[in-house]
Amino acid sequence: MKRLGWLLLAVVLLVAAAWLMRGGESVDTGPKRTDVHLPRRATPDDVKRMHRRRTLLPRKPASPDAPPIVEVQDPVLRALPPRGPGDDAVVVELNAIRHSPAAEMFLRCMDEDAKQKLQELRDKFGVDPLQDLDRFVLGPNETVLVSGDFADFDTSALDGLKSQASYGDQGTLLEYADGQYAATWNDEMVIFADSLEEAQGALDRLEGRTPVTESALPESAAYGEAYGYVGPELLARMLPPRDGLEEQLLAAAQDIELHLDTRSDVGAVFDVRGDDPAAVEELGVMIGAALSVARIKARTDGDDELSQLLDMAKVIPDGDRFRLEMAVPLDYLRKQLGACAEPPAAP
Amino acid sequence: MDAALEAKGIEKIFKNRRALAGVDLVVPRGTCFGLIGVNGAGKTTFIKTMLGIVRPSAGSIRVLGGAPEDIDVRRRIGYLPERLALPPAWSATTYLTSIARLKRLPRPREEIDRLLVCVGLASARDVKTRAFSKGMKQRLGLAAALLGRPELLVLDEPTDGVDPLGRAEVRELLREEQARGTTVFLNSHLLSETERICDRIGILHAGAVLRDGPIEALAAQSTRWIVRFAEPIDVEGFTSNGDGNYHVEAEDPAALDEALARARGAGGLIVALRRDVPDLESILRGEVGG
Amino acid sequence: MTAWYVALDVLREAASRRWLLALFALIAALLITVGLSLEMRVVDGALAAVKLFGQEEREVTVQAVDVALRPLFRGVSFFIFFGGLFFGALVTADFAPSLLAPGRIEHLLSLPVRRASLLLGTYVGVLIIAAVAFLFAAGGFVLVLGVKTGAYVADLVYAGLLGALTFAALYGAMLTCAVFVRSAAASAFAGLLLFAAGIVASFRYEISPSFSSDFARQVFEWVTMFLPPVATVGQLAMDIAASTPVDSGALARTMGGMVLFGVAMVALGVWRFERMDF
Repeated sequence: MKRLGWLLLAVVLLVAAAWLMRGGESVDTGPKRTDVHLPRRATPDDVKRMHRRRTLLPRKPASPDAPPIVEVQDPVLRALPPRGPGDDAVVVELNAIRHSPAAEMFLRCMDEDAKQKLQELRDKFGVDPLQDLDRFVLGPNETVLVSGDFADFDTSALDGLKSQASYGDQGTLLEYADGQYAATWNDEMVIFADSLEEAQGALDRLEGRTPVTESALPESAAYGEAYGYVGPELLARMLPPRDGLEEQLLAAAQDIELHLDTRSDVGAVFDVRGDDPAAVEELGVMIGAALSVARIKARTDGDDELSQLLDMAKVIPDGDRFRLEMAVPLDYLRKQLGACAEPPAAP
Repeated sequence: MDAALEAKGIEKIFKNRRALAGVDLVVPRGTCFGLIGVNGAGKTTFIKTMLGIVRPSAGSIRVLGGAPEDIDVRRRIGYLPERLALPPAWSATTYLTSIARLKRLPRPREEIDRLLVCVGLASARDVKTRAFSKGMKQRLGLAAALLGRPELLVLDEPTDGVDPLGRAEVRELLREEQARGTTVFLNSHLLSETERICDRIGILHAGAVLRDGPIEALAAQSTRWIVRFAEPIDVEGFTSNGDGNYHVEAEDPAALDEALARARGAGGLIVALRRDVPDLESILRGEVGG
Repeated sequence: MTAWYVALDVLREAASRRWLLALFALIAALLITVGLSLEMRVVDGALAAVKLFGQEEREVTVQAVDVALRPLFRGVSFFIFFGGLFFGALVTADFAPSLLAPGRIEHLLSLPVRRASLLLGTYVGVLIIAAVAFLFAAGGFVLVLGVKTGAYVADLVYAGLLGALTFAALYGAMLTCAVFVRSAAASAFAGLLLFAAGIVASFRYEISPSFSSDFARQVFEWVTMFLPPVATVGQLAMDIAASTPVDSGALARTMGGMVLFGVAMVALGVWRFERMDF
C-alpha cells in the first residue's frame, strides 16, 4: 500500500471510530437494575401523615405535677384491641395504594365484571371503594376496621342486619342475625367484631372511656402503604416451599413486622424477631436458601423474569432478628399484566 | 545476468548533512567486494541504502536485479549489521529459529544446526545471548545472515571483535560461500582482512566512490620493485629500505632489467625480487590524502 | 502471516522478561491468597456467612451467592479494568522502542518482512499479552470464588475482555508514539495521557458547559469526540461484572469504535514508519 494510503486509512478509521464511539454514548451507564424503595424506616412523608392523623385530643393529666399522659391519638390505632402474642395487626393504606403506580395498572386492567361489582357496591352502600376508603385494618381477635368517608354509608344495606343503636357520643352498634357485631364511629370508621364486647370496646377506646397508652400497632411502626404484625403462617405461605421451613418459622419467629411500599415499585420488608438468636439465625439462613433454590429453579426453567425478581430477595441478619426484603419491580408487573397496564394514549 | 549490485548517482541527505554524494557502483555476481573508506565516508549509509533501510534522496539502485524494497529480493540477501542487537534472553537457537521463520524457511532446524557448527557456536546453542562475548555475537549474526543460503551477503564489519583464529574461520566460510556462487559485499576497517578476503575493492570518500575494481588493478600502477641482495651494495638507483631490502623504480621490464644488470655489475648477488604492491592502507591513504 | 511471526516473537520476548513473569506470579499469588483466606458458608446456593483470614464468621446478607457477590465483582472489575490499563501502559511501553532499537531494526528491515507487518505484529503480540493478563486476573478470580461457592459467574471475564479491548485503543497510540519518538518513557506517557484524556472524554457533556467561551467549548467537544471514552467503558465493565443489564447494541458500537481507534493509530504509525530511515 502506498505510504499516503496508510495516512488516509488512519484518517478514515479515526473518523469511523469517533462516529461509533459517540453513537455508543447513548449507553445508559447508570445501573440498569431497578432502584426499588424498600420501607426500612419511616420517611418524612410517613411522619407527616402520622402527625396529620392525630385527631383525637389527648387527655389532660390529673394534676399539673403529674406526668403528661401519652396516648394514641390516631383513632384507627386507638380503636384496635390490644395485641397478644401471635396476633395479627395489619393496616393497609387503601387510599395510598389506590393511587400507586401498581394499583393504577391493576385498575386499568380491571375487567367489566369487576367494574360492575364495584358499581354495585357504590350503589348499595353509598361508599365508593376507590374513593371513600382510607385504611383497612385486620386487627387482633379477628377485628376488621375500615376508615374513610362514611357520611353516605347506608348501614341498612348491610345483609343480615338485626338491629342498630347509638353507643357513646358518636358511635352506633350494629347487631347481625348471625351473631356478628359491627360499629360505626363519627362517619369515619366502621368496625367489624366477633362479639358485642369487642365492638363496644373499640368505641370505648375511641371515646376515652377506656384508657389506652399503647395500641396493638405503635405509631413508630406506622409507615409504608401496608404495615403491621403478621403471623408466621402468612410468611410461610409467601415463601418458596422448603422442608422444615414452616416448622422453623413457627418455632423461632415470635414477631414478624411487615412493611410494604408501593410508591414506585413494590417493596416489602419483613422484620423477624425471636427469643432464640441461634434459631432466628438458622431461620434466616433457611429462608435465604429457599429463595436461592427458587431462583436457581427459575433460571433452570428459563423464567428469567422470576429469576430477576428473586435477585432482589435477601435476608439481612442482625443479632436476634433479621430482615427479609423482597421487591417486585413495576416493569415485572407491567409485563405480567400485559398491554392493558399501559396508560391510554393522550388525545 | 544482472549484476549483484548496480547503483547510479545515489545521493542521501540527512537534514543538513550530505552522507552520499552520487555513488556509482557495479558489483558483479559471484565476487567478494570490499568497500573501504575513512570514518564518515558513508559506507554504512550506502549499505543501508542497498537494503532499503535508508531511502536515497536521489539516484537508483538495483540489488540482484530488483528494488531493495522488494520482499523477494530481500529474501535472497543475508545481512550482518555493524552493531547487531540480540534479544538478551534468547538462546542462539531461538534467535536463529526466529530469523528462519521470518525468512519463511521450511524445516530450518537442520540448517540452524549446520550453521551453528560452521560458525563455531555448536556448544553454545542453548546459552542465552546475554552471556555471549562480542565475537560470539558476531558469529551468531553471521549465522543468521547465512540462513537460507542467500545469493548476496552484506556484511558490515563481519570480523569486528572476532579473535585471529576466528577471523581465519570467517575468511574460510566466506570463501566457501563465494565458491558456491554467493556475492559477498563487506565493509571492514580491518584492511588486512579485507585484502585477504576480497577480490574487488571500492574506495568511498565523502559520499562518493573514488576508485573501484580488482585489487590487483588498483595496485597495478606501482612501478616500485623490492630487491634483496646477499650483501649490502651501493648502486645508483637502488635505495635501502633499512631492513636489508632495496627498492628501485622501473617503469617497464626493460628498465628493470637494466637496473638489475647495473646491480649485478656492481657485485650485487640478487636473492629476492618482487613488485612493491601497496597494501590497502597505502592505497587508501593515497586516494584520500593524509 | 509474517505479522503473526512477529507477534510470536513479541510473546517469546515477553515470556523471557522476568518482571512480566513476576507480574503474572503476583496476580496468581493474590488469587491464591484470596482463595486461602476467604471462607464462605453457602447453603443451597445462598451465601450465609463469610470468614476472612481465620477471623470469626461474619453474618452477611443471605441471598443467592452470585447476587451477593455482585458488589464484590463490581469492585474487582474496577481494579482489573482501570488498574490493568494503568499498569499495562507502564509494563508494555518498551516493546515497540526495543523493536526500533539501533542494531535490531536495521536487521529486521533487511529481512523479507514488510514494515507494516513489523508494526502490526508488535501490536498484535502486545495485545495478546494484555488480553492474557486481563483474562487471567478476571478468570482467576471467577475460578477462585467459583471453587469456594459453587457459583461460576462468567460476567467478570467479559468485563476483563472489555479491559483488553480498551487497551487496544491505548496501545495503538503508544505504538505510534514509539515510532515518532523512540522512547519507552514517551510511549508510556502517551498511554497514560490517553488513559486520562479518555476519562475526560467520557464526561465531555458534563464538562463542556464549564467553558465560558463558545470557541473553547467547541474545540473541547471536537477534540474529545475522537478520544476513546475510557470511563464509560469502565463503568460498563463494572455493570457487566455485577450482572447489571446493559444496552448491548450501544456497547458493541462503543467497543467497535475503540478497536477502530487503536487500528487508526497503528495505521498512522505505519505511515510514519514507512517513511523513516534507520
